[in-house]
Amino acid sequence: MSQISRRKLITTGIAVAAGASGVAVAARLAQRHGLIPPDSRGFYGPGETLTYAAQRLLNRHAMAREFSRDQISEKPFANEVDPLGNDFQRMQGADFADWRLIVDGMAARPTSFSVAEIKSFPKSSQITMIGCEEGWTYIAEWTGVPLSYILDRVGALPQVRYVVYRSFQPDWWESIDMSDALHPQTLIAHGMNGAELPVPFGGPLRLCVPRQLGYKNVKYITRLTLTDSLKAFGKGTGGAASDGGYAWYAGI
Amino acid sequence: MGTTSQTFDRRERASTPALPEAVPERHPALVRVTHWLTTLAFFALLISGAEIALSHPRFYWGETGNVNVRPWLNLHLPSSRDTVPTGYGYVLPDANGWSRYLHFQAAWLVVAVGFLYVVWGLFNGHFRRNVCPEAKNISVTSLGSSIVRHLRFERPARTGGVVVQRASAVKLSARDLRAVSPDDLDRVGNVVGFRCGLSLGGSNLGRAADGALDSLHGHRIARAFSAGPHRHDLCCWVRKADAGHDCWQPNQCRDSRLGCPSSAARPGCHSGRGVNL
Repeated sequence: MSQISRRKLITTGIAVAAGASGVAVAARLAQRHGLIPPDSRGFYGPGETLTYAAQRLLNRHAMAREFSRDQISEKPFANEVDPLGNDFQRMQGADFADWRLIVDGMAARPTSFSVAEIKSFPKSSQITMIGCEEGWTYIAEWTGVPLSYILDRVGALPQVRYVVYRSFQPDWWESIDMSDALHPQTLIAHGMNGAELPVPFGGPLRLCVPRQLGYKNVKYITRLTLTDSLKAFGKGTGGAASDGGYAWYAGI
Repeated sequence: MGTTSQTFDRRERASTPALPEAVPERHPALVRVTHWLTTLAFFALLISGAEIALSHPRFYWGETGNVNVRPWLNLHLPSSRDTVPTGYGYVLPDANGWSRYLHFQAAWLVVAVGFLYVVWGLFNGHFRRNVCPEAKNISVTSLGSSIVRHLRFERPARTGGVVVQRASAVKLSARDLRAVSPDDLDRVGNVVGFRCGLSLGGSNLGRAADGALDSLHGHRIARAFSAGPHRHDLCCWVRKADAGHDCWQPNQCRDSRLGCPSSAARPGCHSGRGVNL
């Protein structure tokens, strides 16, 4: 073997070893700092991990853009909703007096709230855009209680890493990390454009997370579960959308 | 072919003071690999982007837009969502899940490949040597002819940046292949390595990419010739009709270190470049 190829062999070997150990160290660091999304396995895992990690490293505290009142869409689009069923209609007829928002999981004081209680909590309003992954958007003013207030009130344990939220529609559930859950623009919304949140737009309660796409803004919220792992939920990818082949992290 | 070969000869002589320089080389392996990875990413972005657009094939002017608003541009294509009024009586299958995944992954591939290429190009002088045009090439005629050659998919020369000279080498390979008969191969004994001087460097990556990349230029045929029982003997010999001589010349080749057959075994000739075999 000639000297050139030996030198090449050695330098290539060192480069490969350095690269492999670099990747291993980066993976450990990323895991520790919560930069690995729950759908990081599979062919699209590398790209998804890079997207999520880059967003969390660069934009962890970034605010979603807010708009002026005259930019609120005159014709927002509610998207189609599967039939909500008789139980829902009965509760709607009673002005959602029986609607409960259960908060369980890793909380010191697991509980459930009525819509009236939620409405009595400190309000936050913001004029933000909701964007669907399909490519359509609208701007609305959302009013609700910051999710961080709810987490504080139930005594979320320090090891909580995700908030899983479920819809009255059993097929719809999603989860967000604490960066989004504690973000001041993440609301349990009960009002829209100065009125009650209309049912087609998610009333009585909708999770409003304007830093993520529409499919993370789940309508008809009935339950929040605080957890440190998403493995036990569905297929373990953290949401109905990601179980169905969509990205778990839908940051804008 | 007469015109082409004359052009080639003139060009090659003009640009080649010595034999090692005489043989135009391929782009460096890293350039080729990053190029094709970028191509792969481009088509991934194109396909997934089109799929995503089909879920809402309408475009709006201003901050927002949805089906309740008149679009600025309606593509009048069928959609993968039944909420979009397309006028078609059917809905395409939903492909946004994998399309969005693929779109982002391909974008990251572009970022990674671009980073690799820029760092490599800065550190090993690739930009200085091969990309930045030499002063003599910064002229309307030179740039114009360079653009034309690029549009013809001719290959650039190894040196000189903008000036394209490598193209002729590819034509040479195809022409010479036609000139080589099985008898010729017998005549040159165990000369089976026939790589047409389009290689540079010794990386296995480049070697692996060879066959895939040059099948359109006759190179694949050359590879077939080299697949004989003496495959190890990858010395490169090229038959050239040069200045009236019909001769075999050694070709610069990264595999020559594997050991060339002695020149005694070759049909000799006196080429115009003073190489006597």
